[in-house]
Amino acid sequence: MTDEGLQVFSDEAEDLLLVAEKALLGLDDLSNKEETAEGVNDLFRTFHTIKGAAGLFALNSVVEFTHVVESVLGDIREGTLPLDKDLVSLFLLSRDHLEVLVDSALNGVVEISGAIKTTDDALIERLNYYLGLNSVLDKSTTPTIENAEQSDNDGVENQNWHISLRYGIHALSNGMDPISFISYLNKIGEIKSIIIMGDAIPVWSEFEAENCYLGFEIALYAPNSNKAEIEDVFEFVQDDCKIRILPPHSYIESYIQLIEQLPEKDLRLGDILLACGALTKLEIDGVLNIQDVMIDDVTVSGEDIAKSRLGDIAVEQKVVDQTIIDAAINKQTTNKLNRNNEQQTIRVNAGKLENLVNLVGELVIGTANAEISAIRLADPKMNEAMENLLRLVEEVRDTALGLRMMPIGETFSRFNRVVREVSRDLGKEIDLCITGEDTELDKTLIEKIGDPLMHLVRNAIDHGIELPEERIALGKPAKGVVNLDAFHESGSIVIRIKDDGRGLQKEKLLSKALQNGLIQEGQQLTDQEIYQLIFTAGFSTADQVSNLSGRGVGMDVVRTNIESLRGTIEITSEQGIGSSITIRLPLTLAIIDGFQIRVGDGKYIVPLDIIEECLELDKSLDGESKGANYLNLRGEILPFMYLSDLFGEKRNVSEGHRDDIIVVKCGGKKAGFVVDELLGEHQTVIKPLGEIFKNLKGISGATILGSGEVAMVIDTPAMINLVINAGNDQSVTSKL
Amino acid sequence: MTLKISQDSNVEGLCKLTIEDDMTIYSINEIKSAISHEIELYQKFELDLRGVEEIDTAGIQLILALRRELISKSKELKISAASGVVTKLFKSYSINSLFDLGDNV
Repeated sequence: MTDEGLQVFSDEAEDLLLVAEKALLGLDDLSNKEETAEGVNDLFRTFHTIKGAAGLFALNSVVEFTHVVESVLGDIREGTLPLDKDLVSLFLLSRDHLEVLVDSALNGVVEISGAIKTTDDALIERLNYYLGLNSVLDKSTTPTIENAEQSDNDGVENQNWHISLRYGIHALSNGMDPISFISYLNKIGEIKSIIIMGDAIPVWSEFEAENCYLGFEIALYAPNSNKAEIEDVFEFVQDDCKIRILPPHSYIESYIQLIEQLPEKDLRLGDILLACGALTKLEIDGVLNIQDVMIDDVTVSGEDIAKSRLGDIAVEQKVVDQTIIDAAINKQTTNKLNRNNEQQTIRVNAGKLENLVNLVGELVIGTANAEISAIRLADPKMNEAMENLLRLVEEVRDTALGLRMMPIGETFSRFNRVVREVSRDLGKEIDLCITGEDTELDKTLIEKIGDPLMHLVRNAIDHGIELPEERIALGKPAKGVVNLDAFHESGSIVIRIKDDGRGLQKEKLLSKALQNGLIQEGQQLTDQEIYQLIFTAGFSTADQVSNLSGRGVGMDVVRTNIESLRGTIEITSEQGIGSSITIRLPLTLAIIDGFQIRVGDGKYIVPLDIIEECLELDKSLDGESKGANYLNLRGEILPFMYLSDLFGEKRNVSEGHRDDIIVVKCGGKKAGFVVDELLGEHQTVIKPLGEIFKNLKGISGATILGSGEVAMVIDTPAMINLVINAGNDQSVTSKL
Repeated sequence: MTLKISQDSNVEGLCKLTIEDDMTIYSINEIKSAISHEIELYQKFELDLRGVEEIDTAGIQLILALRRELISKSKELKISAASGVVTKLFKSYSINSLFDLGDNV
């Protein structure tokens, strides 16, 4: 299926399913009515949108299933069905199933079958149970309605949509004139009656003419429209208006609820609904009968004020409190608005973006070339123009790369679900704390980092956090905490997974490693080396293999994945207190600000961001260190290395030659590289090296200089390790 | 916006308010403060909206607010004349009957 529309649907459905998941996970605390109402609304809307979109493409399996889910959600939203934990779980399952359905529908499966069909049936049956339950509930809680001699048992007689609008105070000053929306309603249907509600207008002295105090009760005859279409009319005014829409033949309870929700007095609303033709006199009496209050004959005059107080039906029927609904609606509109903002993006084919970035790369190389010619020409005008051009190209480069940058938040929020489910399965109580979700990194990186992170989070939960009883016995709070954090640090992005669990147990790791023959008896290992053992293939210390972790695959995959992204991984741990895993990744894979150096005849690039300083290598000092490759840098020990040795170039020992040392820092480690010449900044387009150079240590890529020469890009983290280890070996040999 | 306030010499305590040009959100505060002063002074008010060329919901709201205020003080408000745009908006909101604005005003 190559249909472009389908692709859009696929993307949109993916987004919406994510939103649904988020909303479902937000429903953790059902006692918080405000949040719950908001979450249910979000969910309802999300499923509704999916259904609508799927309907456009005639993806019937999706539509049918979503419809049932939506119905149940609708009941919850109306307040006729209470939401409980079981339902939330059922919705989560339904969401997952929907994802499968969408996938299979997009792959051209018209009729679902096999396992999918079984799940489908099972879920629909479970959902239908709730729908059935609801109708039972209906009858038991509102028996009086039947006594009200309703002519139509299914709903009220009214064949019109009933729309209640209460404009916010700033609607007029924001330029949202109600009349324009009302005129628009006339386009999708016929306004049968409209009543302007001026009840909220304050006394003249307090009346601010620019504020809006108005509300409207509208009866709209639009038999061919659905609720979404009518909602859409008010899309732009959601922020400034409370909108309540009742479909034709709504249940009388919906009207009761409407009356309850509206700010005006109940009795006055009764009049209004009657005047609007929303309810018949009989039905109104029915409503009022439920309230068990005798009322005087009502008049339709606008100034009539309720003569008798009405029984508070809402309290009796446990309908939600007005303030809660208001808050929920307010929140929900802002939420929807946010979502609308998010949708103000353009979806671009990743290939096009890739192409753009590649072209910008070529442009960078091209300008570097032009720059060299300009310098050679030594024409001031030309140089000036060149300067300008270079600056612009740099900006274009940053912008182009910025296009690929995405906040990591979405990846992080996926873990909420993982944590929730895994901790439930394991009987642990765990909070996931996420910080730095706005940190941006390259989209490719985000995609590739998801799975490794998932592994690490699961590991932290499974191996790290103890069971609640254990934790209490240890004097820790019963609830464990897993922190996910992301931030930028000197040209790289750092992602940290931290838990307050039992920490890595060195003895256990060592004995396991001995058992597996990974290390030899009596071998001395640093803490870091011990921790790194967990990244060895086939290594697991979990006594019990759960279905989550403990199979010993995974951690080595994590390491391989991260290293393939030119990243590093580091562990710190304290027994009984917790451990933290730090992943460092380069910000982008394509273009960097580089620093050009010369070693022998070769030119090399070091990422500029990681360079701390450049200094002249003091020959006398070097003499003192006697080849030990350590330098006293303002009281700090700095291991260093002659790059010429490493790259097989001859050291320049001629008199008067100045050796420069560049001090680089990465992942908290510092090292010095001795080079022959510093050539200055260079915008570097990293080109991957071919397969043959795959195993080459210390070089992460190559770039083409303006002159057409090829320069190698130094893989700094690897190189720093090389320098430090070389230093270690040296010290070992010197000891011997 | 032009607002003319005049006392009817024939009827005791009758204030004629003539609003011209626009009665929209842009001028509504001005109109409001101009009228505020008069509310205390008179018993009856007549609005002449013949010259109103532009009116929006803010204008309608002002008239509704004025009406409420006057009724609560047992005073009277009448619309003596209205332009086409005014009548049209009143009808859109189904409040023409409140002010006896028939079809042929």
